[in-house]
Amino acid sequence: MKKRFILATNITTSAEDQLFKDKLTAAFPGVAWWHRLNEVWLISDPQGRLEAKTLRDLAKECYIGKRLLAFEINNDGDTWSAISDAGGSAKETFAWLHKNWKKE
Amino acid sequence: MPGLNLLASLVQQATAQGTRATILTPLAWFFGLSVTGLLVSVRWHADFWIQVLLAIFAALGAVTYLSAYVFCLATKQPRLLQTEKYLIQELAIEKGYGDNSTGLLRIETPSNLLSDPLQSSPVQITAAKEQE
Repeated sequence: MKKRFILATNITTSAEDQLFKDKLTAAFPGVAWWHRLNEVWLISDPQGRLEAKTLRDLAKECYIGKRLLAFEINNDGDTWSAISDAGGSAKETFAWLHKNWKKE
Repeated sequence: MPGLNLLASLVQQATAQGTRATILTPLAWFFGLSVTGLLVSVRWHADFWIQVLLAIFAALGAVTYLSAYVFCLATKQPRLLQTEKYLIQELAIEKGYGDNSTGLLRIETPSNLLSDPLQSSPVQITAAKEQE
């Protein structure tokens, strides 16, 4: 089943973007990606192998010390996975999502 | 208080303009203040020990400044001498964009864009490096 993701980060460098693209396409051949907005990636996995947590962890290896937020968008329900940077508390940073991002 | 508001506004403006932007700037301030203090103390005939103390501060500031400058050049880290404003502009310009059809494209801009970021210069997109 096809899966779609949105990955958002804080400011990254060109080298980090290149590394992320290389790792993503190497680990998951066949994924489609779009990166024409600063710090935003749209990723489509036709084979449904990716998960939000997997994507987050892969991005974490490339964007070291950066805040990340990976959303999985699908028909059954959206999920997300995130990581905070060294200077921020994850609980505090993502409290808003825990509180307001639920469907119900 | 109007005076404090004006001061805060000036500090904010100076920060926004990146005048406090390189690693050498605090050292330059330290050196400048020490020299100023030394000159004032000499002019107003302050105690000798105060003049000596300020002279030591000024000398330390100068040595530290030069050492930091030489260190950055010798260790091949001249980027540390560039302003944060410049580095941020460079970062924004060097960013690549694209998708899995085109690959990551790099946008190149004329070098004068760095000196005038508000100038509306044309951009050129180079050929994609790879196709996915």
